[in-house]
Amino acid sequence: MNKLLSYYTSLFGTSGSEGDIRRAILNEISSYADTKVDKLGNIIAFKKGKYEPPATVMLSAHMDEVGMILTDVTDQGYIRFDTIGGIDTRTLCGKHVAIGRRKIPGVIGQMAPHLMKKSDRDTVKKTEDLYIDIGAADKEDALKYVAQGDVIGFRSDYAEFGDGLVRAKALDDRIGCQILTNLIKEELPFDMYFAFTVMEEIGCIGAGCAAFEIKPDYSIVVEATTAADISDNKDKTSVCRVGSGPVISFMDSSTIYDRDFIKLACNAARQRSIPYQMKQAVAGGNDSGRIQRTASGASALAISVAVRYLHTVTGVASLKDIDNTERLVFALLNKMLNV
Amino acid sequence: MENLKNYLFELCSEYAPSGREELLTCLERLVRPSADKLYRDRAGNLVAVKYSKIPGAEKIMLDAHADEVGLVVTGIDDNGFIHFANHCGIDDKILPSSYVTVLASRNLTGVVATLPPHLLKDADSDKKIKAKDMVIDIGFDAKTARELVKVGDFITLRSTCTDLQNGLVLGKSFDNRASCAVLVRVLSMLCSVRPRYDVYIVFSAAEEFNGYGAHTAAYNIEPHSAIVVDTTFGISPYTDSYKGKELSKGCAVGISPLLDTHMTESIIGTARAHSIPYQIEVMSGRTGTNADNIVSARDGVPCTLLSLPLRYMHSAGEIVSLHDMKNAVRLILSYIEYRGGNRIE
Repeated sequence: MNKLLSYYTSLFGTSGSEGDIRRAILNEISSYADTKVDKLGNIIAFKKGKYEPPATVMLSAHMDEVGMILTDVTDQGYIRFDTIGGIDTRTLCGKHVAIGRRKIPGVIGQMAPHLMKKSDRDTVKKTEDLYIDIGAADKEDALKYVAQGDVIGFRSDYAEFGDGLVRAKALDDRIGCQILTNLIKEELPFDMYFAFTVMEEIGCIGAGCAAFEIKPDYSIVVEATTAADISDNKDKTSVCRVGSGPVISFMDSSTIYDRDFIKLACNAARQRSIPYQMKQAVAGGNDSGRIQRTASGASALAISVAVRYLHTVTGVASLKDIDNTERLVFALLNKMLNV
Repeated sequence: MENLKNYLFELCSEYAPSGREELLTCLERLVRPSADKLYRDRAGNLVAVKYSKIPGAEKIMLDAHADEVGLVVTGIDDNGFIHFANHCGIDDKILPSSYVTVLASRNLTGVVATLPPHLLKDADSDKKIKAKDMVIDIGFDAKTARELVKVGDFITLRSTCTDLQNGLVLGKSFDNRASCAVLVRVLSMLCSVRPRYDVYIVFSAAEEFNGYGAHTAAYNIEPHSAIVVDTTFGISPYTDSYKGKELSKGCAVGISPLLDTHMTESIIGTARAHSIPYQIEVMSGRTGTNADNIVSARDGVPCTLLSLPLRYMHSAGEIVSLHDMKNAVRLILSYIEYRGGNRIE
């Protein structure tokens, strides 16, 4: 079992509330690298390598995950909320959640099917029409456990299943956090920076500030990206496929990636016989968009693990892809030294 | 309450959709020590009997259905994804990104597949996703999936049980394992009260399908009367008091043309005499419970109905009150207990 991934995904850390995952990462890496936490909460780590660096290189992964935030409590003690980050409201009904620092358990309810009229059956509820139930007697009772502004995370267990797959919440981007943590523990070819960023899901806020501090020449974002390789999706692109190796992006909605850098990564993969795939759609976006245009700019590359059902209570990814992504990043770093 | 909770959480750790009630193996284990006789019948009902020591005692049937809602495998496609149909009782809207268990040659965990929001057009997110357009990801390629899973295998929702505030608990299949837990507790307590009936506790099959379990059990047992224990709609932001009952205000005693008036009055009298909280649930005919299936067995069985209010029925996040369960146990035991004088109302 991938213990570190299991641990990282078990922690709650919606955008702006990355404290738990930040402490966990610091705990893992601080004996291997010089670390500091900046004003926004990004972890910036510097690790010496064997040789002088060819340029300033920054690897990053975001710590935050999508979730919800408590906006109001009804007189009857039910919780109203809004979403943090892009969540399809249709995936919320009946899901278990944890609220606030005390992780008060609750559930997003829905009407019993027996009572639904045709209009209830055919329509999709908007977020403002959904409520979380924590078992409170009324508003006053509810406010003993929760408060306005409490963040709300999905509760779901980590499990490895099927043919070498894993399902868990927050794989986007605890996968990246786990890969970077492993790399920091390795002997690296040259000195480099690592950034574990905050607030990616609400507009890549943290990465810009981390990049401003580091001012990288080269930026490698290690991410989780949209796999739509599900069978009822024949008419649309699958974007990338779970189990087909690390995903290299040429372009998405926030970044045009550096062509030479892409070529270098592909060569590194081929030389080490690491399978890889090109992302086959211009969709989504990640911290690269911010990093690329911070200070005097950086050459950007994103290497991602294909994850199905991104931004829901559970994602699905391949353990082998995760492993190969780590290998590819390491191979690429070695190759950068020789360029 | 701790006992009841332990029973409930254990009963919900197993998966037994209608027609596969034998998979609820922990139920047999829980009732065996307390039963004078225990058997599973042809319909899949598990029947636990506790005899009265009073000569000439009549039989009473206590019914709680043991099955749960589910889905059924209709095909496995070339990518190894499972296609399915509703087996009974699940609304499409709770399915996207839900965890499920496929009851195949071994239990397989799966996820109901959805497209990520990044790829959705704005118009898509307002459209309901229909079950026929969903698939289940079990993480295997077609070859392995076809070896493990067969068309016709059943699928259930999957979630863990959790304590909420104020004695409420959260989990799957509380409809109707909460009532099963109540009857397991009743059975274990029957040693310490003197029942005025031979008590036939039926953990019945297939209520979520069409109730054949309770109907055939009532035929076989020939009870003098029956108490059906099930769940009813709890009041929530989605359900008001027109159809819903408050949680933690006591179990709901049913009043309906189909239920036996004298028995119901007697139950209410018992609750009052012992200061056990209860609510009244009025229905206009069929009750949507096993009472509908038991009442017409043989030459008729007078039925009364006790329902535990439950929120978000048939989802993986159902909520019931342990207080209501405890009070249901007290009410049933008080009703069955021999207190001298007239045995039958």
